[in-house]
Amino acid sequence: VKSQRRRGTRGRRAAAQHAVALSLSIAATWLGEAAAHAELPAQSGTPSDGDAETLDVEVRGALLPRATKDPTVASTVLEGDALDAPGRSAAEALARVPGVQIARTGGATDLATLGLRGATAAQTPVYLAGVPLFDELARATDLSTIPLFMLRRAEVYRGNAPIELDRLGMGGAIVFEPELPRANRLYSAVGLGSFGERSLMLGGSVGGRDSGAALALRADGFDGDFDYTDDRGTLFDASDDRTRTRRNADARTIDGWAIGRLRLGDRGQLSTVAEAFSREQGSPGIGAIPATRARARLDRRLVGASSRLACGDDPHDGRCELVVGFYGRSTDYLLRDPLLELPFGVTEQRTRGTGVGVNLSLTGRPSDLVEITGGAAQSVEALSVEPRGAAGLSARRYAARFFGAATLRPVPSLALRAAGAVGSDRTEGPGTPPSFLSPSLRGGLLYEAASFVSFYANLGRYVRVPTLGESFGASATMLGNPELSLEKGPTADIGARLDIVDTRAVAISAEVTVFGRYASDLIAYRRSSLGVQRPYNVGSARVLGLEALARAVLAELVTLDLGLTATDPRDISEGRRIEADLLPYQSRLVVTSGASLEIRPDTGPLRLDRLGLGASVLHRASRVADPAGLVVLPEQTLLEADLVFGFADAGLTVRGRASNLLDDRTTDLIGLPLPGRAAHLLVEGALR
Amino acid sequence: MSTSRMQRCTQGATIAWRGSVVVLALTSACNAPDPLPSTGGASLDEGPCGHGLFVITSDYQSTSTAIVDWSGIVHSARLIGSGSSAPGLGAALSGDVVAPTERVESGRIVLIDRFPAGVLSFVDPETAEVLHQTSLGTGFAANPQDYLELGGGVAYVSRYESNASPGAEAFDEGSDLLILDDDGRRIAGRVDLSGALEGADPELLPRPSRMLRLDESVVVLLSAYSRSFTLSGDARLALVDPMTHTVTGWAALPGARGCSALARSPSGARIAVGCSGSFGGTSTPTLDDAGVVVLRRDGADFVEEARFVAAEVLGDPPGFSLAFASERHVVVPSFGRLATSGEAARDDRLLELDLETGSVRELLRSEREPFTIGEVRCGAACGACFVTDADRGRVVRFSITPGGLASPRSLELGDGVGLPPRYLGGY
Repeated sequence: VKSQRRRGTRGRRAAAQHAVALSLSIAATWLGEAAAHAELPAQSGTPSDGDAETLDVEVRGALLPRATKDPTVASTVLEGDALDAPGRSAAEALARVPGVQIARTGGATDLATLGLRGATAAQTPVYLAGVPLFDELARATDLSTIPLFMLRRAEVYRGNAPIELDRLGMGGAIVFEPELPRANRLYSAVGLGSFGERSLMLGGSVGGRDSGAALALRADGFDGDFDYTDDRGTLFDASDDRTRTRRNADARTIDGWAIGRLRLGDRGQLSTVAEAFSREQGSPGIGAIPATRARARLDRRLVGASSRLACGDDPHDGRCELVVGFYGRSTDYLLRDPLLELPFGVTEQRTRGTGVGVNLSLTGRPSDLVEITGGAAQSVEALSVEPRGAAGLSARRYAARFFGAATLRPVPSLALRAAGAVGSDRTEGPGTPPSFLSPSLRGGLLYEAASFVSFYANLGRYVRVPTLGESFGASATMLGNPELSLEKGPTADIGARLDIVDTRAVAISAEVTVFGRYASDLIAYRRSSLGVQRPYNVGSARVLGLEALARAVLAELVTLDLGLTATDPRDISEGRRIEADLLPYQSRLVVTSGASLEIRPDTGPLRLDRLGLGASVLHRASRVADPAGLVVLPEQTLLEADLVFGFADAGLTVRGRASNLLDDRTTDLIGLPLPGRAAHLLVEGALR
Repeated sequence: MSTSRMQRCTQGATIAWRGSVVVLALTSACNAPDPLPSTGGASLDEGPCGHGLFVITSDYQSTSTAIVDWSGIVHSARLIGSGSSAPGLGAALSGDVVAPTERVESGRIVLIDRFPAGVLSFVDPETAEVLHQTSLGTGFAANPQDYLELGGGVAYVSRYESNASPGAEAFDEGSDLLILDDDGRRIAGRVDLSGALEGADPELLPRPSRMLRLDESVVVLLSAYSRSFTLSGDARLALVDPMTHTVTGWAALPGARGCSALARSPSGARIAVGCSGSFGGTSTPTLDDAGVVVLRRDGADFVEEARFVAAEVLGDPPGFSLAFASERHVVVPSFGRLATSGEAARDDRLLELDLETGSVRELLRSEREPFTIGEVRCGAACGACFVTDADRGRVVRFSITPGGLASPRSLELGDGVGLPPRYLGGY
C-alpha cells in the first residue's frame, strides 16, 4: 500500500472533488481500456483532458469507479465493456452490481425488473438521462426498455440516492447517463446472436470543445425462440415432460437518439437529449400455457435538458453553481389479447402515461469548509388506463419537492453531509383524491483516514408515495385505496474503501459496506370485497446485509473482479402466522467474479491493436419464491465469456460473447422460462 | 515481464482462487432452507363418512395439506405441499389448490390445482406419495374446479374456462366436463354442456364448477358467465347421465347469480345452491342475486323448496361452500368486507339456516379479516361439521345435534408452516 504521487499544489478540497473524476481517466488509460474515451459528467466539474495530464494528484478509487453526485454514499458505476458487451441487456449488466437482485421474465426484450438491498422494483427508481422511467401504475421500471448502446455509464446508488433526484427510492436508485458528443465521428454496428437476435445501429456525431451533436438510430429484432422444458405442471411425473420452443416471444425495436451539448462560454454547459423508442412484441405468458396471440406495443418519447452554470464572479472558482433541468416523457403501452390468454380479463388495454418536470438547484461554496445546496422540483404525471369494454382510470399527480443539503469539511479528511427533502403530492382522480407529504432525511460522513483508506456512513429515512394505480385502482378487480399512507423506513450503512495502486505490478481496490434497512406500511393487495382486491398498508420488512467488491489488476494485463452480497431479508409484518419469514425472491448470497486479459499489441499488417478476452460468473444462492418458504428456486450460476478484437485505433471492433455457458435453466420467477446458452456477435465500425 | 512481476501475478491468482473456494462454500451455506419434509401418511379405517378429511392450507401463493379424522384428530400435519418437489416451470402445488366437492370414494386424496396449472394430483393418504398426476389443460388454462368419481375408474372433471382457439388438441374446447378413465390417468372424452344453456344469451358459457352425484345422475352447477365476465346469466343446474355422458336435463335458477356452492342433503332428497350474486367490480357487492336456494328433485325436474335471499335474510353474500348438517339444517359461510382503512367493514360469518323455520343463526364470526371463513364440510352420519377459519389459523369442528350445530372445537394443525386453512376434502 503506498501512495504513488505527491499531492499537488491545488488545495485539498479541490483535489478531493476531482479525485474520483480524475482517477477514472487515469485508470482508463492505465488499464488500456476503451474507457479512456469515457467522459465524466460535466456536473462533476471534470477538468479537460489537458488538465488531467498536468495535474499531479493522488490516484484514488480508480479501479472501482464511484458515482460523483454524492461521495458519502455507497455506489457502483458501470461503464465501458460492462455496458458494451454484445447482446448484454441492462438487466444482465446490473445483475453484477452488489445489492442488486434482478427478476427476468424471458429473453432480453421481455420484462425485467430490479430491486436494491431487498427493496422491491417499485421502491427502486430508475432514471435515464435524468428522466424518471418508472410509471405511475406500478412504478416498476422495465429494464428491457433501456438501450445500452448510447449509454456511457450507469450509476447505482446503493441505499442512498442523491437528494436532488425526484424519487429517492427506499433501497437506492439507478441513473443511466448517455454519451455526450465531443468529436466528429461516424459509427455503425451490426449484431447477430442466438434466438434470432439481430441489430443494426447507425450514428454520427459532430463536435468539439464548445458544442456537439449526435444522432443515432438502432433497429433490432429478437425471435426469442429458445427451448425450455415444459413439465406440464406435473412435477411428480417426469414422463410427460417435453421440450418446447418459446413462441410469440419475438420483438422488434427501433430506438432513436438525439443528443446535444453546448458550452455556455466559460460558465457552464447545456446538454439536451431526446429519445424515441418503439417496440412491438409478443407477450408469451407463462411457459406451461403460453399465450399465442397476445401482443404488446410500447412507444416512448423522452426529452430532457440540463444546464449547469457557474454563478459567481469568477466562473472558475467553483463557489457558486446553478443547475436547471427539464424533462418530458410520454409512454403508450397497448396490450392486445384477443383470446384472453393472459390473466387480465380484457382483450385490449391501453395504458398511457405522460410526465413533465423541472428542477432547479443552487450550490454555494462560501468557503473551503462548507458547501450548501438548495433546490426545488416540480412535476406533473398523468396516467390513463383504458381497457376495452370495462371502466378505465384517468388520474394525475402534481408533485412539488424542496430539497437542501449541506456538506461541512471541518478538517480536510472529513466530510459531513446532511440532506433533506420534503415532497408534496396532490392527486386528481376518481373518488377521493389523496394528498401526501413526504419528508426524506439523510446524514452521511466520509472520513479519509489515510491516503489509501476511507470510511463512510449514512443514516437516512426514506418514503415511497403510493402510485396513482394504488390510489385510484388499476382495473375493475384491482381497486384503489385513497387512504393509503406512505411506505417508509430508516436505512443505515457503514463502509470502508481501500485503494492500493501499483502501476507496475499489482493494483487492488476494495470496498465493504454493511447495511440495514427497515420498511413499514408496505403496500400489498388483499381481497376487500367479492371479486375485488385493494391495496393496504400491511407489511413490514427488515433487511440486513453486507456488500463487498474488489478489483485487482495484475501486471497491467489481467483484471480480476469479485463482488459479494450477503443479505438477511425478513418479513416482520405484525400478526403474521406463517412460520417462515424470508422475503420471496431474495437470494441471501450473490457472488460475482470475473477475469479479463487485455493486450495492446503493436499494430501489424492487420492493424490489430487491441485483443481482450474475459470470463465472468454470477452465482445466486437458492431463494424462496413464496412467503411460506415452501417453493425454493434452485441456485443459479451464469457463466459467460467474451472476446474483443480492435483494429485501427477502434476503427473496427469485433466483439463476441457467449452467455449462460453452463446452460443454466433455472428461472427468476415461477412459471417463466429463461433462455439457455447463447452466442452474440457485434461488429462495430467508426470513422473519425 | 520481470520475474518479480510474474511472482506477484501468481500470488494474486492464488489468492483469488482461494477466495473463490471460500466464497463458493459460503454460497452453499446461504441457500434458502429446505422446506419442511412431509410428516408422512396416515392409515385411517373407513367409517360411515369415509376415511377422513384432508385440509388444504394456503396463502394463495403456496399450499400445504394435512389429514384429520372425523373426530378432529390431526393424523398428518404436513402430507404434501408446494415444496414436496423441486420447482420446475411451476411449483409442485400452486397457491390455487382445492378439494373435490364429493368424497373421493377410491380412498385417494385428490388435489385440484386450478389456475393456471390445471393439474390433478392423486395422493396415497397412507404413504403421502403422489400416485400420479394428470394435466387437464389440453393447451389452455382450463381452470378445473371439481372432480367426481363415477366408479369403474371413470371420473369427471369440470373445467371452468373455455378455449378461444380450440382444435389443436383433442378435447380442448373447455367449459365442459372432461371424462377421465384409468383411475383418472387418461383423458377419454368430454361432455358438452352447452345444451344446458338453452335459451340463454349466446355469449354465455356454461362455466361448470361443483358436481354431485344425485341418484343415477350427476348434477353440475353452471355459473353462466360470458368469456370476459362482463355478462352473467341466471345460474343453471345441468343433469348429466354418466352412462352416456350427455346432458339429460337442466334447470335455471331465476334470480340467482354467481353461484359456486353446491351440497346434497344426507338423504339425497335435496340439494342446496349458494350464490354470491352479480360481480359488480365495486367495493360493495350487490345482494340482489345472492342467496341460498334449496331444491328438491322431482323426476327430471328440480322444484324450489326454499330461498334465503341475501338482501333480506343473510345480510351478506354467501361464500363458495355450503353443507347440509341434517335434512333440516344448512350451514353456509357469508362473505364480509374490508374497508379502505384496512378494518373489517363486515365480518365473515358462519350461518346455520333452518329449513323448517326459515331462521338464521350465527355460529362463527371472523376475528380480524374477512374472506377467511372458508369451506364447510359435514358428515351427518358422523355427527360433525368442519369449517376452515383462516383468520385464526384453525379448523373448527362442530357437533351435529337435533337442534343444529353445537360444541365448536378448534383444531390447530401444528404443521410448522402456518399457512391458513382454506379448503376441506373427504376421502
